[in-house]
Amino acid sequence: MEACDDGRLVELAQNGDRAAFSTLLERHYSAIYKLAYRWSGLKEDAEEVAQDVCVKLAGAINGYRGEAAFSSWLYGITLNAARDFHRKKTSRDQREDTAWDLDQFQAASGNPENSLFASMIRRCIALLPDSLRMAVLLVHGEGFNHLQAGEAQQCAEGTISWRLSEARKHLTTCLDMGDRS
Amino acid sequence: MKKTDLKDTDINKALNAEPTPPASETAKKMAIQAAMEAFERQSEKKFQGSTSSGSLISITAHIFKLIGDWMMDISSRQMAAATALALAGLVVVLVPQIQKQVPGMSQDNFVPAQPQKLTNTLAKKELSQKPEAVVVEPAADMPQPEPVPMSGAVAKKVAPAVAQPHFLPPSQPGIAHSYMPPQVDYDVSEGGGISYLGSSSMASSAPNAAYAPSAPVMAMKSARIARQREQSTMLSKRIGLQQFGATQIVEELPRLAHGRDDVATVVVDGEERDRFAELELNPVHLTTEKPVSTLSVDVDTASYSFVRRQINAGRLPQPAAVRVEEMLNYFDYDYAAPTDKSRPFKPSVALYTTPWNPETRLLHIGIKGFAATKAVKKSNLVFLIDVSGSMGARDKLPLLKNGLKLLVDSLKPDDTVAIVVYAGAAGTVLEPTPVKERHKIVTALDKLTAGGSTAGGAGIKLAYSLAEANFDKSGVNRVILATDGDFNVGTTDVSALKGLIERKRKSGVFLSVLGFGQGNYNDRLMQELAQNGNGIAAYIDNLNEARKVLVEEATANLFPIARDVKIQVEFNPERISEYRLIGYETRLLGREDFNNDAVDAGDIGAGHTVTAIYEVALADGGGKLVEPLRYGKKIAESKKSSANVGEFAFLKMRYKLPNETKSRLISRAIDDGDLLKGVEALSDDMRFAAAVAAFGQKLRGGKYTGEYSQKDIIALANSGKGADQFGYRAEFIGLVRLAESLK
Repeated sequence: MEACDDGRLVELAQNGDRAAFSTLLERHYSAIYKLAYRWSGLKEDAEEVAQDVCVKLAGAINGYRGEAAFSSWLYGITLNAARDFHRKKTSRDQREDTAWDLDQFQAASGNPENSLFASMIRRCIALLPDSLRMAVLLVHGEGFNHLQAGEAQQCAEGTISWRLSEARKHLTTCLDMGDRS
Repeated sequence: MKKTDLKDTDINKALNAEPTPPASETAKKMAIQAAMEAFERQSEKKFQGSTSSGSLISITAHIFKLIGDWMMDISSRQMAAATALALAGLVVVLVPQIQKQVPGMSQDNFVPAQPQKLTNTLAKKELSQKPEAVVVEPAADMPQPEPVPMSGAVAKKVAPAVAQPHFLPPSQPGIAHSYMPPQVDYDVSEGGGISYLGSSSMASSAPNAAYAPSAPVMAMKSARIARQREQSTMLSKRIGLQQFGATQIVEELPRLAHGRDDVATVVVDGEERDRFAELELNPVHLTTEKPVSTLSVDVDTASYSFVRRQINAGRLPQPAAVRVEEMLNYFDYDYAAPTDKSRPFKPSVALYTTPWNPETRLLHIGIKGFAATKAVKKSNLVFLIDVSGSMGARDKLPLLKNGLKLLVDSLKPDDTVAIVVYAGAAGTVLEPTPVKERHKIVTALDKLTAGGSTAGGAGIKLAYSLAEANFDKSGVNRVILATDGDFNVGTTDVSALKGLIERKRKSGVFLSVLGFGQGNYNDRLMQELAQNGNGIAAYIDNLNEARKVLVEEATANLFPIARDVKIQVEFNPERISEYRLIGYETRLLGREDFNNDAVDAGDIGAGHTVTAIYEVALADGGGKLVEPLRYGKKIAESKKSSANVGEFAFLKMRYKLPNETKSRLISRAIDDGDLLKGVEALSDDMRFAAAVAAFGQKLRGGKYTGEYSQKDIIALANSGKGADQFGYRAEFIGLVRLAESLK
């Protein structure tokens, strides 16, 4: 089972093969979790989102038709789940959003100068509008090319390129402001 | 300001340098176990097959569950008893609807699938004790909802009432899909990816309730909900509900559905809670019938920011959210500036061929306010900040804090800043503090956290009292309200609140409103509050916008150079036979209001530009939309004697200087000297403004823009892009491009 590729496993799982589905989960859990963490910056939230995604996958897997790479498709689901989770959380629990706090990163720094800049970038990424943020996480975080990211976000390759350049504008502005505050 | 040099590798590094703390093994185990359980239920369902009535029962069950959960949410607000009545009405409306869709379905099937889940609250008790009450015919005085046609195509057509059409799945041939598990359990969702419509919470607690209706079913349901909005409003009035009336019930339904996994909600978008007043477009007027057009200037920009946010998020804005004049006035135009403070602005006028209709002309009126070289007035500012729970989102409070820090940096050392917050209770966070103690202000800002519900009324009063305590007669005294929208005001009555703001304005304390976030942004209220307080309403969706509104325009926003600025145009029927004002629907004034100094109008700040554009049909040209009267008098016979025969129109503007109560008049004739040959003869800025006007009108439905395409708009905007120092115009062009892909 471990030797099968994703496509084959999905096929088996769609036919009700438990072991195949289980293998898929084992294989992708950490990637799902990692992407969720990138979105929220909190371990607990990321674990919860990852669980949501796994459960959703039980049904959603039947809808995967192989138009996109499985991982692109899965990342799309994960990002949407992370976004929804976060929306729900902020509106329901009425908790303050402390994720991606600047100090948190400074505390964990190696090379202070470098990591301060990096943490500012992360903070600014967290402030991006959702669609731009997704594009940045997929391309810069996960190393997707624009085509794959387009598959995950269900939009044209060109839209991803546009979102990235837009995101860069936002980030540059955000960083400039960060310098002043 | 220096530009940070940001490389791709920096972003890569930033995202990958920080090690992700590994997920705990327990979490992973739990996740996989839960998923496997769900998987097994899926398989069972798939291989047992299911009946059509099966999925319909579950639709009903979903509605019940939704309503039940909603009841849970509001019961804490002590409104359960009253709303139970409203809900019962709603259920009565919804259920027969569903029943109609499946002929031959017995009433028994409509007993809620899980009555044990419908307990706890008054409403639920009633329903479970008397399930037959649920299927009674609608009350006689309840308007009968229209039957819902059973085809996917129709569902798409009706869906936009609640949802944007492009979120519908591409090829759902019809309702039949809801009978074909497993396909019913997921769907293509907005923005990308696939979202599973089954339940995670329910999967663990209620294994049998996992059928979700297909998107077309939900689209119909959404449309029905929209239709029932009106009916429910009536209902709520009847049972005397004010604050949590049935209108809100139906508004809550889509929102709740959005936030929950257990209901298919891809087509029900949470954005719909943003409220905008519906407005008709300004109509075409015949000059012979209504030769005079009067309006108040508008320097608000909130609509443009909102539109931008919607488009960036991958959807077209609701037409009602688009105010063309605010889109126009978002941009700064280089009109000829006045040189003298006593005559604080000067109109620039041009008449040129309409880009989207070669037969007609645009009458373009541009005004630039006198730009004070240096603001010498002292500022006494009170920030009134909404820290209710919903402000916690990244695009709200954190953005606001950063923006306000920037503003503090741009103020003078002896200006003062105070901070009042409101949530569960209103409180002063910072007494008026001079800007030279910057660290104190910044520390206070940093300490703000979101939590609690909104009580805006008390906050506003407190803010005004601080502003008055520190009142500077020769300075600028202003309360700046920052909120994400809903005001659960202490003086709940909105008109009372507006009255308060208006009184304070007269005493010299003005109000500006900054809107943040989306989801429950109450555009209309924000507009009205700002208008009553002689301030601007701006919508801030990112740091760049915060900088634009709070810093670059701070002087303009904070220092009015003219108040109650009104424009009146009288068209000459001999030269212009029809006219239509583009935008400004909310700013129209009566002809008699123009000379009445008691009638309030918009203010213009230092350096502000205001643009108003009319589309006109020349008397001797084509493009007329109104047929001439068979029995009408010929103009030539009626008044050939006029001395001003060559003029197209006469422009008058009234304004008050900041410290005066009597208005002054500026006027000029618009004649052949203002007529330009073509769009090419125009200045860049006017070309760009025309492109913005075209785009705004297209977003509002394009009733008058004909075949003019987004590509034409882009070409026109590009030709008028000019220096575009801050990239705002380039951003606009990007938006048009993106909007095109969303069609």
